[in-house]
Amino acid sequence: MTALPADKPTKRFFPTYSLRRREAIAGYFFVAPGILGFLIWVFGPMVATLLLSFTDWPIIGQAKWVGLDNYVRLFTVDPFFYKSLRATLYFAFGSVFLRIVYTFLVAMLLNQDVRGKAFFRTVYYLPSIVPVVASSMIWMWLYHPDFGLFNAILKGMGLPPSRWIHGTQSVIPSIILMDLWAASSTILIFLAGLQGVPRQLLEAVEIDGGNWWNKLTAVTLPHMTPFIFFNMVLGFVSAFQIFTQSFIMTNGGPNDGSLFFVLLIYREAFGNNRMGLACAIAWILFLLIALVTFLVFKTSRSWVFYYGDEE
Amino acid sequence: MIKRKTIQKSLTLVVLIGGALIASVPLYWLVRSSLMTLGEIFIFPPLLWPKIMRWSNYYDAVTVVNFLLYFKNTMTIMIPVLFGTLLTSSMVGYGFARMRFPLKRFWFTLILSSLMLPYAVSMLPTFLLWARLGAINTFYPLTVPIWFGGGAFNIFLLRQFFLTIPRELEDAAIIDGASHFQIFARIMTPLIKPALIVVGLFTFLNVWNDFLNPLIYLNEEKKYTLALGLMQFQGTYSTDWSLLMAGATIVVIPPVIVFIFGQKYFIEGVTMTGLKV
Amino acid sequence: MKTEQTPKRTLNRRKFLQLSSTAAGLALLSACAAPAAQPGESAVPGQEQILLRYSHWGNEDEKASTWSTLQAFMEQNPNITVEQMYIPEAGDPYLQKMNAMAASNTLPDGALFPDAHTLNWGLRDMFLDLSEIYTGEHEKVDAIQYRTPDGRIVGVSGAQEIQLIWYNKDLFDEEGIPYPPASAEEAWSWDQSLEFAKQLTVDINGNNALSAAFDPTSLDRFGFQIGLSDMPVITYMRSNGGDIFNEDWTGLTLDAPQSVEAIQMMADLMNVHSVMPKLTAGGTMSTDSGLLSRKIAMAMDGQWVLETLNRVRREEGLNFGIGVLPYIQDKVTTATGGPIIAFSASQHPAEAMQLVSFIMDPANTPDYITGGLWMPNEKRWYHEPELLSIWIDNENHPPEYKSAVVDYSLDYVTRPLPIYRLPNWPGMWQILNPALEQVWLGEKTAEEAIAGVMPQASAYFDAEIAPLMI
Repeated sequence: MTALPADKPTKRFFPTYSLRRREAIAGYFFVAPGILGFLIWVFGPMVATLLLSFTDWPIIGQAKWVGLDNYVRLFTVDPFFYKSLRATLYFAFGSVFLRIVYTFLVAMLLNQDVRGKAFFRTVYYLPSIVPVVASSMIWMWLYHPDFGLFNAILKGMGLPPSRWIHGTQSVIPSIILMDLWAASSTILIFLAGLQGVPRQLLEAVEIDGGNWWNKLTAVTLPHMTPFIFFNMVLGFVSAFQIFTQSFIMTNGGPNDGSLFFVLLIYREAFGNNRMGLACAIAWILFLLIALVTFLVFKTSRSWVFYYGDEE
Repeated sequence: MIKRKTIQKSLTLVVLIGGALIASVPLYWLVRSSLMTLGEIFIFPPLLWPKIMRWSNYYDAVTVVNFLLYFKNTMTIMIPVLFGTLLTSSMVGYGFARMRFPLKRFWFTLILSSLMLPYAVSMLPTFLLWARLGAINTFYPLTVPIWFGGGAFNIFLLRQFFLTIPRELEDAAIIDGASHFQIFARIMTPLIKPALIVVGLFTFLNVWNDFLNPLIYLNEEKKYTLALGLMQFQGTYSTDWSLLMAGATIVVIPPVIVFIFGQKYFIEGVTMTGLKV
Repeated sequence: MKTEQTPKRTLNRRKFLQLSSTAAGLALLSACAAPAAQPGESAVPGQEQILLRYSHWGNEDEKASTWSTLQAFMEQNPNITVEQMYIPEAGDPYLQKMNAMAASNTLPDGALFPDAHTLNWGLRDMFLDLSEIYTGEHEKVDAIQYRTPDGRIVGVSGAQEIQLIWYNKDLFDEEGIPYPPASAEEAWSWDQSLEFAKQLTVDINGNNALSAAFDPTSLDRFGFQIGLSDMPVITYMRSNGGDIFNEDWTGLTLDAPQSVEAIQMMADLMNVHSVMPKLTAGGTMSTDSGLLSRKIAMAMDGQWVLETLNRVRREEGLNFGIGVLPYIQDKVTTATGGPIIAFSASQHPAEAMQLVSFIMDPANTPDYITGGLWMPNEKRWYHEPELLSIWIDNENHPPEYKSAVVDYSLDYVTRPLPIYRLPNWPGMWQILNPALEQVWLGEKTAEEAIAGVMPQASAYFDAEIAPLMI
């Protein structure tokens, strides 16, 4: 800021201009990989996906321009699209909200003055680094209707067994549960956020005779809203793209109950040789994520509070 | 008052211990099942621990499928990816944190926005591009794109770290006549070593755990990564659950070790990105 | 201090720049070098050495067996080198890799191909017509030929694999139940086998499914298991006089009462009688682990499991037997098998055909034939005593094999499965399977589920199958 007044008059001088220019060139040199990467691996393919979504292209053979046919097909006659949409939305909303509630609670507990905090932190964090392929196999085994641990526990408690990932009603909740287990990296973010909640404010509530609930709603939650917001946005983006779990455990079933969008894209593109249709689904997925993100941003004005400076 | 605090504390502890036990169940079950015979694995209600620990399952697992080869392949991908990520993401991160150039905000926002773009929307044309280049069943599709900034997340993370370094250091260097590259390589990079470790650790996990990309790009068994190779235990004709669990344990152990040793950095990294948005 | 270090830094900067430009160059180079490397691989320079590539799926044993067959081929044809491409997964991942190679013009010359997609690719002229080479003594078994509507043979299954009953003899002995019959003449009826299955199904308290105290929620052993994929479903529909498609493949008979009833009978095994694990298609227990762990007494599965069961017999002492399928109305079984095809894109079509016909000659795949994985694909192997003897007179083929498998296959294999005649069958199954899963789960009756799915199935048939069948 202080450089500004000094900057202005010197602007006309050639040497200074050249210095700026040199910095600009150097700057572009530094960020060039990022910009090129964005154009080559993100933006370009995105546009290509859009163009391909207007074609009928069975990989083996020629692409044919069909206009909006793929989209019309998806929204009218396609037997899988709505099932896939339902499964994806169900999982995304379920997992994102439960993730936030669960990880927030654990973070609150860890934020107390308890012994062995570091130990607990490790134990809770560990599941998030297990490769999804491996955890899918573990959970497939835990969920086994006949020999799995979970049904043994239900049985022990005198409850009827569940079919878990093999039941049409239970498949999404089961995958959400598994996802919660691996959601633990969010705990660390919340934990860090909680440490930033000003103590004076909490004490002030206490002095006013408020209990833990008052503290939570009046001080802690409002201060945590930016973190919740951040995790919600990124949570939706990744939840909408769930793939490996259902690819390994259920192959989209039963009754297409876990036929998530990315699995449907994979199947249409590589199993049914319908590249154009797969691209159309990919674009719908993109628009869906954009819409949900937009809504989260839109509503955020009413529930996200920023304290102090923004970066 | 004090009494209530104590009760509250012990209650918290109990809940935490209970939660920790539940959270450990799947990994415990993994190890338990990996040491069992097929007969034991199918007993209902399940046994909590095998009668005799069958370590030979591990030997069988690594001989039934070619784990060593898959490990070598995973590492062949890992090394260029790590190198590419560290180099280019720190360059780009530095550029956005410290340099002044036109349209900086525009490009940064654009790159950052790709955090919110689903991979699926660019996956198919990228696949077709690599197919046209004849690079299917090679490691290039899994390594080359990383050399373009190493992903928005890492760029963002390193930019945040660079921003925390006081400007005075650079100003002093500039007065001394150092160029931007000198500042980047000699002054700034050493200062963000912890951040680079964080990026390195996350990159390690990403490569180790990646499933969709190897699935799409690697065709032949001799090119398989560990994550892909693990799938083979769900065999074409039969599933041997105890071997599957032994195989899964083998794949899970390295990231666990990496995590335990790099714990401090992991926590720092997660916290850093989480806090700075 | 800083000034002292400056010269060092300059040096380092140069080094750094060198390094980063090399790295960037490398990345670019690798991107460009990749396509150049590919043609170099397939076009062998100099002498008339021809390179063929052959791809297949399977387990490690099959990888080794295939390699010895390819080696035998190369010994016979010193001018041809064959490169083995081994892709472990069958099904969609394998097909995806074929697509990837098609899109990059790197398809191999010959391949074991995903059965359900064969006709689709064949109709798009991706495969060479093999009609000419499968004549005379090399005439193939009828039920396993992939034929286009105009009569071309675009592929033939490497093996004829029929559906059979596999059982753990010890369990039958312990319960004092006769073994499932090994000849079609004595085949059990559906009700008979259900009765035995109930006797063999035991809960954790030791009560079997016939007892009043039987607790179907905690079972220790199941009497019966049928896979829930398309093949068993079609087999039992046909056994009940129904089918998915009519005789001349021009329409659906899925909703015929016989078809519907067969599905309901299968579902009842799980939901009414509790003699079969309650799973959907993806989750059934593999036959070998089911029999070995004594969790399954008898299972319906393809002939190919013989090889695995033999290994389990040798390694773990599994005492298993083979029987023919129980029948509802008609005694039938079905045949399948992954086809071995030659790609029309091959640079050396003659040699590719030669390779395919070599692999397709059962005499050249002794490991597969004597090891129990494959039944021969050639008619004469079922009749000529010397050939038959090579095939079944060995320790991998138990005494009952002749009547339970060889003779059974000669007289009771029905007409070809849809994959041998119809393109786009996988899409049809993708529509049917979710509906059937609701029946398996007991959420709907077979009648409701099939009535619900018929409009979609018919629409799919009219749009994606019928137009290609002219």
